[in-house]
Amino acid sequence: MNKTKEWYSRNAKRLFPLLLILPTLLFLCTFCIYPMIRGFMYSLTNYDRGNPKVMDFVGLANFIEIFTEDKVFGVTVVNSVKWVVVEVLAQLFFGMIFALILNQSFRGRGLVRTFCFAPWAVSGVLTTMLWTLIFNEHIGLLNHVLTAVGLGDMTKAWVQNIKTAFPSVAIAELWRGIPFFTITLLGGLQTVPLELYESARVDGGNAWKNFWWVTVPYMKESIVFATLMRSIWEFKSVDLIMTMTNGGPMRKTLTLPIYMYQTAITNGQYGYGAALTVILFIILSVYVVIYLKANNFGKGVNE
Amino acid sequence: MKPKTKKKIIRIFILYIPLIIFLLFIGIPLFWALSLSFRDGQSIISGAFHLLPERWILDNYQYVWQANNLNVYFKNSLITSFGAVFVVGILSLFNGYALSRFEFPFKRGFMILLLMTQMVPIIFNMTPIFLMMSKLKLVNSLFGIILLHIASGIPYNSLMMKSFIGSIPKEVDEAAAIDGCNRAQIIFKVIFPSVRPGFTTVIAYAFITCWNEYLMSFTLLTDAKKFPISVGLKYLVGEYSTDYAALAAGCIIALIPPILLFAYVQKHLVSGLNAGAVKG
Amino acid sequence: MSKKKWVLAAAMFSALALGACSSGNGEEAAKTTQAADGTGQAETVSSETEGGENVTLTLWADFITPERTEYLNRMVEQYMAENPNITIELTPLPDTAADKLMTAYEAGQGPDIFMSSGPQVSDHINGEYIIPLDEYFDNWDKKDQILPSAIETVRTWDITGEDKLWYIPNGISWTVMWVRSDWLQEAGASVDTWDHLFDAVEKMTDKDAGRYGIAIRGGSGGAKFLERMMYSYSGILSKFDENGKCTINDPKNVEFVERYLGLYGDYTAEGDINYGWTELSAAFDSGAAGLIIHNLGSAQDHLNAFNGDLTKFEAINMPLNDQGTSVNLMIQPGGMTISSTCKHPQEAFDFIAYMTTGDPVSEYCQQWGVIPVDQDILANAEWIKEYPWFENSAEALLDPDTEFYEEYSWLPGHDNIYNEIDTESQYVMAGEMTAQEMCDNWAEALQECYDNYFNQ
Repeated sequence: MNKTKEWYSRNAKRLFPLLLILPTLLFLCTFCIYPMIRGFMYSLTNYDRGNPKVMDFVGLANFIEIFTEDKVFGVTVVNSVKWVVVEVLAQLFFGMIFALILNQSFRGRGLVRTFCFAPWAVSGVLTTMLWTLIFNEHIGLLNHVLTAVGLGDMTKAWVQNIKTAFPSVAIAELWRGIPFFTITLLGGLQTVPLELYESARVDGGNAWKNFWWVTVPYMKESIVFATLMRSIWEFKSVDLIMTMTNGGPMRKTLTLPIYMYQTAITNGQYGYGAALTVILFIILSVYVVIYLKANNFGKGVNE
Repeated sequence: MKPKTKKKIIRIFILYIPLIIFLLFIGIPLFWALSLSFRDGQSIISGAFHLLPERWILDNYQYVWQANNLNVYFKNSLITSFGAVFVVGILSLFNGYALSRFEFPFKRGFMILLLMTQMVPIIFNMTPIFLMMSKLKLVNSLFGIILLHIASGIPYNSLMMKSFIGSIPKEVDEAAAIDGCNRAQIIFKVIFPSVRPGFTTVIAYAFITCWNEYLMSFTLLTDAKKFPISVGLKYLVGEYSTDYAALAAGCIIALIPPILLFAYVQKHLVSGLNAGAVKG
Repeated sequence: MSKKKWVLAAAMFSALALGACSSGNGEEAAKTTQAADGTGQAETVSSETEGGENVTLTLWADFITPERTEYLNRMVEQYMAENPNITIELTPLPDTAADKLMTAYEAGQGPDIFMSSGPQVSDHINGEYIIPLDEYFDNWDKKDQILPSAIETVRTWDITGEDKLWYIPNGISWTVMWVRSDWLQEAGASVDTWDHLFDAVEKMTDKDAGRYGIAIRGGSGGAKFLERMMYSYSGILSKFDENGKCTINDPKNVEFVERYLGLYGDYTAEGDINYGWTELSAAFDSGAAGLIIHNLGSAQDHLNAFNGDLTKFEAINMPLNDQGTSVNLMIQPGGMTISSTCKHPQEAFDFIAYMTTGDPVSEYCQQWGVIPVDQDILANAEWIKEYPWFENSAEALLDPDTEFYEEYSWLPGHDNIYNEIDTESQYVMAGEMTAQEMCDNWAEALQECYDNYFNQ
């Protein structure tokens, strides 16, 4: 009895955190990890949803085909990287500016904050509907406004034009992405102690220096975290591009997840789609590990 | 007098002008959605352009709420969302506490595991999830949906909670331990009150994700009376045509709970200031 | 002390777990009581009417809107009132439910009956998810009421090669061209033959006024409709000739692609290169385009957009080609399947039979915008006579001079090619690929499907 007690107290410090994360592990293993691994297994088969009775184990054939024969795959990876870089950087940049603005005190701030946050909470089906209608060539808000202010020459089929398709869809995604960053960074800004600004002011720092040397280092964890999550989410995002362009025109907006969707869900080639999913997963894992190492994330202030 | 004017001008340029541009970018689509929701649906597609409805009508709201049973879907969404968020909140608190205060084996591995669950579009796991839920007899059950919402809400919110707890000085725990608190008491009596703003934020984030979740609910529920609002709204997108006005109205109704919740949460973003200040 | 901690922690977790479970269980319990009440009622009713055993059937339907839900609920209630021992549990599904259905089938939990405006039967036959209905159909007293050509088309979808009937059709989504009659009149043009049509497109175009003769669906779903026009233009009646060679890159078909996609830019708006249906319909309904190809399903939307003014628009069947024939597609009809997991197929078939004839199917077809396959309705329904497009299409369907081409859409893998061709057609429109190259690629892919199927 006494011995066990001793053992407990010696190991409690090590075991207590494990006990804390235990329910999470149970949840994740059951509802996320296990289905994910089962899903990955399909990548080694030629499973076709349209012909399920003839599923065979094909080893790495799907992967070999992706890397040697598939001409579309490369295009989609490039598009995906472009998409993530544009989205995450633009969202970080504008999100930071607006977080700083919304952190100032002005009248009606609470209302403005609530309002700015709305696009992120809007149901995805409305976001796509709104932007499809805004960018429409014939009945779209944007073209109507341009014509009304005398810029009729600039009217375009924004989402279909080969040059403007990608930027247009990107703007629609920014609409709901920037608020996310703004709110997350606004939360991060609250952790910056006011005294630090005071002491910086005594040292004669200007606003820019304040921002760069006081705010940014303090918010590093928030920034790193928000950027990381957002990169993952943007890399795998499907709904907006799917509805607005379906990857077109001429594959200008065909990202890897859209291609996966078309292969596995629309065309039912589940095995091949699963192989693409595994590749997407590996790309993201490598990115995450490197990103975390580079930023030393997780080695918090208290450790 | 002069420096004051200068300050005012600077304030206009660095505060008000960007703020107004931002508000326009955010606001115009929202405003347009609002305008659409009060319009007669046919006038949208026939191309006649009006920024404001010619005639304000409430029919769309009435239509989605009653004819489209949005009242039923709304209630289901409330059940599944609230059912999930508090468990997500508490488990995130545990995980956040474990991650920010302790060293333990596989700590980094655990964090990467959390991130990994986010890396695959859910649609590719739908078949395995369905098979498993069917083994657990949780197909067509709101409880099953709640469990899935919990599992998908934990990773992001735990990591967020980790940084919130990380900003509370360790001395606070130590002082409490000296006062004779055990670890569980520390979590609930010391950490929880000081991380409350963070906790509310986590609840709000988790709530919105659950509220807008579509695919899992649509695939796993087979009784239309159990569908959440995200699925209910899809009824307005027809085979060949979309009822834009009704869809806008429905989405605006669906936006009310998250907005109310956020109006409440954003106040805590200010009180978070005080929690952070302890640290300095 | 430390043990106390453990106990506390354990208590915390169990409380949590209990809390989570009890909330869920409570709800489940409530549901069960409700369900129990429901069956209780059904039992008392059935004992009065001494029908057979109590049977519950689940019914899923896709592409449902609030109006369609209202219709289905009404029909189900009517049916249950007439057959008190049957309970139909309806699940109306928005949008395409293909993925949901497939996932449920894979887990062996599909509905007893599935109602779809375009069921993916070949996939479902392959997976043995649905059952053949010949036995029930043959014993059905009203089987002769169903249009024979529709039944024949459904039989071609039996990829087992036994010409079995895997679903009962209810309506055909007829392909038409929607044309602005007023523009045509203004331009003094007509669209009775393909040559006239190309001419009319040029004449109707007035770019300065924002009017385009035609809108081309270059994006998703485009190739499917392009193909129908190609065969109508060339007059070839089968996608594979008697030697099993694909005809899609026949010179006449290629010529059509050149002419048709060649209209892009000159007589169309800029966006056509990636138009899906939403954009295509917006172009027509907003008065920007004079002609689009689609089916009768969108009739109500055009009617709404033009405020019911029938002088402004009309639907035409496929124009005549140089052999003087109008070649159309006998498209796969919509209809209802019975799943292999269904325990009461006879009862399920009775319900399908109820829904496929008489007033129920008449209202269905009106609501969905499809041509009924019940010949009685086809000949007599008032609503068909009310609108010229339904009447014309019904006539064309019954007219012995109307020719149909064989689409081979049932070939495994056939429909997967469209996605790639949608994209290639965009390259053709942008001038980065020739029509010949596109059609050759298309033919090659189709040939592969064909050879895979017939040489196995």
